[in-house]
Amino acid sequence: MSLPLFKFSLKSSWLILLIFTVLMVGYLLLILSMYDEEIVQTLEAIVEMYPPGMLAAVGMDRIPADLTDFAASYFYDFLVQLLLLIHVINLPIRLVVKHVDNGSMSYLLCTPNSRVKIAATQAAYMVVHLGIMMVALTSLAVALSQALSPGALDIPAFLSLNLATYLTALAMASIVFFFSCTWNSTMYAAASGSAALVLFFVLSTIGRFGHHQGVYGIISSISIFRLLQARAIISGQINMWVNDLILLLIISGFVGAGIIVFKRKDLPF
Amino acid sequence: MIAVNHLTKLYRNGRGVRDLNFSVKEGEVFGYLGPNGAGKTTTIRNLMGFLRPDSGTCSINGLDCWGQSAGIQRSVGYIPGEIAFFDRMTGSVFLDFLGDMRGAKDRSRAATLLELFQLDPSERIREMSKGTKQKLAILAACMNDPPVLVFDEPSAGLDPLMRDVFVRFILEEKKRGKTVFISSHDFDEINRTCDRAGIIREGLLVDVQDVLALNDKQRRQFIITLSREEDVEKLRSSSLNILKIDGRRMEIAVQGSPDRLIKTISRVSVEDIELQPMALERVFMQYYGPEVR
Repeated sequence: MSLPLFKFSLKSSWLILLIFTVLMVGYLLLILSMYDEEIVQTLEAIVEMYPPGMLAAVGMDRIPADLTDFAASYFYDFLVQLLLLIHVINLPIRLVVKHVDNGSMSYLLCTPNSRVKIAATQAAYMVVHLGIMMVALTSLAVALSQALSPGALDIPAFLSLNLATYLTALAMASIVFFFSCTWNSTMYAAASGSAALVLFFVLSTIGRFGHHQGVYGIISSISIFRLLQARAIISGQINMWVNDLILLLIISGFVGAGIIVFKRKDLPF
Repeated sequence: MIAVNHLTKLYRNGRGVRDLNFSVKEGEVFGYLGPNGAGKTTTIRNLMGFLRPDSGTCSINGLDCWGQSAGIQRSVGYIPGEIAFFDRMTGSVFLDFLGDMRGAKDRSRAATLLELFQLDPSERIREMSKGTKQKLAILAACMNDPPVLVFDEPSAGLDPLMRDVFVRFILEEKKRGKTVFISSHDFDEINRTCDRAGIIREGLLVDVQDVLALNDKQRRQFIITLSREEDVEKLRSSSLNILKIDGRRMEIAVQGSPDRLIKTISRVSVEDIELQPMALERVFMQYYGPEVR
């Protein structure tokens, strides 16, 4: 890994990292601080008002059993996926193909650093970047919930949920990273990366609409978001070892393939 | 030092380079001449390891340009033909960043070059003029004092004064034992700096010659305006190669040394003499000749 390049990537991405972290932390803290008896009753009333399926599509159709369930339903099951989606489409594009497209990559490669080292550094940056975001999110959420209502949050379940969220975000980023390494044009890379992720997101939303039952289950199982079923994770219905291992395989597969393609391709400058 | 063996790299549109063979010796300044689109940049991109050859190989310092490009970068300074930087950085931050990426601490050479090229690196790169960016590219390539320099049209965008500074810089580097590979479509620049030059056209290396020999072949056109009408006839009957006569104005072609021209016109009264700037196309036409076409 090239430390100067890593620092450079951090310098050029810290603002976007800060904005997204503040946005996610702010929203989660808001949700956590909203939780009380009253809101549960309000939600019961809302769920009765809407036709079935409509709220299910955005994962908000069930009455939360406790604070952890509340956070899982109203943040991790839908909103976090949307926020991460927007963020991880952008990040790997900025890290690789943008430098290739505008020619600044030629300067990076004119230093005694191999293509593999450059691409691996950018991948490592991606891991750390999303890591900082998730650590901030998790630790602030735990701290706030402990301060507001000590013991209300099921911390081990919450940590496991955040780990799965982190790995899912990284898996999404890896898919875009692969396209970022493959294409020489920012536009094509962004188009293929976002097409893949948005498709996953749509499939998962359709699946959620039918509670992942029957044909809906088949549709949503194609999506990467199937590996981030927040409520099933906190209720212990899913073997997290297997779930996280699959995510790790996706991450290493796409990052590895991206680096290999990047090493072998013709560059346009 | 630089060896290109049967290098072929063709793009989908049919352009590229075909079966190139040449080598550049250590300490030699090698010019690479050709019109736009002839394959100069493609050759250089192969040397830098940005392109994988379709067939053939090239190497610098014994290292393969495709497989061992990171190792090659230790000894090569490169000026790209199309310059693209990290726009938001200032010049100094950019040079520092490159130094760090190379793991080099010593910035004394950079300081000397800043002075030589009169570059103020405190400006943001995107706000720099084309010439200033070009100077920055020269600095970026040479700040670590690498033994091999690969320049793709290095003086593009420099004003005539800076071009001069740059030519002297190359000659100085040559004295210091550097191996230099310069692509250019500026005949004069190659003429002043290089020992040998390769001429490339439509992806084929047409000729590799000593620059002195190239000079002999170079055909120049003088435009001479005579003071008296009757002198026109005197010159017409001389052995000069007269291309065109327009009243007292004559266009005369000279191959190699202009000595014979000067001696001949000394016998008549000359009002004005000018050297027709050699259109690049014409320089090339000479070397390529109709038989190559």
